[in-house]
Amino acid sequence: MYDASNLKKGLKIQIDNEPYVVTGFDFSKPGKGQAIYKVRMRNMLTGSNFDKSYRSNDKFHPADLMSKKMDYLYCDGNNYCFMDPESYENHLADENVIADIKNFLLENTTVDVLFFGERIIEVTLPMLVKLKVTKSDPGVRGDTATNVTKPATLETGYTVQVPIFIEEGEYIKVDTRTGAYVERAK
Amino acid sequence: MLSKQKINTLKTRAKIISAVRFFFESENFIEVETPIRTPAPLAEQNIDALKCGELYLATSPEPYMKQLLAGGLNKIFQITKCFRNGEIGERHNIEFSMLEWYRKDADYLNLIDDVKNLLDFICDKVDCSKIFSDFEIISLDDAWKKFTGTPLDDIPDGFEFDKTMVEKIEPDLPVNKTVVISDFPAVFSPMCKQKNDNPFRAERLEIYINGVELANGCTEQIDKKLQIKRLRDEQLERKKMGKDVYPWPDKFVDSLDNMPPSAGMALGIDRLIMILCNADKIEDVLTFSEL
Repeated sequence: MYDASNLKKGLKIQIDNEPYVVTGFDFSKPGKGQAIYKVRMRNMLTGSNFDKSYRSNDKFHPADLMSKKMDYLYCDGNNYCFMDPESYENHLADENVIADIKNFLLENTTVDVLFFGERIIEVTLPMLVKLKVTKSDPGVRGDTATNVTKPATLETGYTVQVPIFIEEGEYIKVDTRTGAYVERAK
Repeated sequence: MLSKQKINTLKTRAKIISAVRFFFESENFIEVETPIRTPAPLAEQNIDALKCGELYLATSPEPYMKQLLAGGLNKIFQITKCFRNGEIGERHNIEFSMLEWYRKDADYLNLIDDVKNLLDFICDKVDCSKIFSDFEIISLDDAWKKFTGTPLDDIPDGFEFDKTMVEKIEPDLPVNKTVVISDFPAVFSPMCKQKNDNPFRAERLEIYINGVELANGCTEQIDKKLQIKRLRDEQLERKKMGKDVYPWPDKFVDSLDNMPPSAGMALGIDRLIMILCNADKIEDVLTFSEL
């Protein structure tokens, strides 16, 4: 249990059965009055931000969170299935948890999975992933302008701008935070 | 090595403290010293003293300064260290410097003139554009109505009251002037005299500059019976809250037999320096901070 006075940025707490991460913390107190801890939090399920003031003796449970390396197996339409490589247990994640990384998620990739209780609430990919170019027309070198790019479709279905020297069948590295092409991969 | 900015701040700090002393001496106040270690801090439900062996560190010099008033001194001041457990933040440090002064035969409105004259005096000695000799006085009832839209007919519980002060009123106070909020609820003012025309309000005021609470003062409670009752209530409240209940302040209570009508003010020196140095955080103006 944490008291409001122990909260600090980055701490993960549970309120009404939902996990929150503390993103801001401010102590104020009128000279003769009570201590007021103004806490800014982000709901880890919905992503929405939330401000609330607490008294010093208000108590918080740490959020029941666990992080695990897991292998992504398949998608059955709405659910994404991940396997614990040690226990071989399978766990499903909702599509909305995957929404941000869907474009870079390949079967049999190892990812970081964050559980809230039994529920998967976050799946994190490595910063760079290697993906195959499945379709890209040959580049047209018009004038001699540098940084000429063309669209390329990757094996996940995602389309990204690549330099014109990238050809179908080659592998490239993509930054999963921005979705941008980084370099040609061996 | 200290940064250039820190050195400048410490020079300004020294000048301000020297100006404060100079001001009170020129007003014929006597500078006094009172114990830092005390067996019996005054019971206030929201102010927690630090243990120091068998004693406590003073949360304020108030009980001792009032004993000096009762003992025959008429105008006294001091700058001293006070300690309040758990108070640490951008405007709080557990150990901080307090300026307190008391005047015999005065009421809380006389203190406003003292603050005005003090700030003007400091501005003469220190290069400052942040202290404002333009004063606005507003009663808490008017401020409450103005900033919350509802009258303060029923006093909310302490937490709701303080939350409203900190979140709705202080941030919206006029800037570029010194704001005095007067007549706080008597229930939250255990050491202050009640107003003659309204027993639910105390002759107490707070001074704000740019939304920062700088000072708190009141016409002192000199009715021994009432003061004993209020201290007992605060002790009970502390007990209910599971807090340390301090020993009964015998000497202070006894001195009330001879306590003259008087008014006293406590002003946070570090906050004053913050305002003058345009600092956002108290640690920026402390010589040594806890953080």
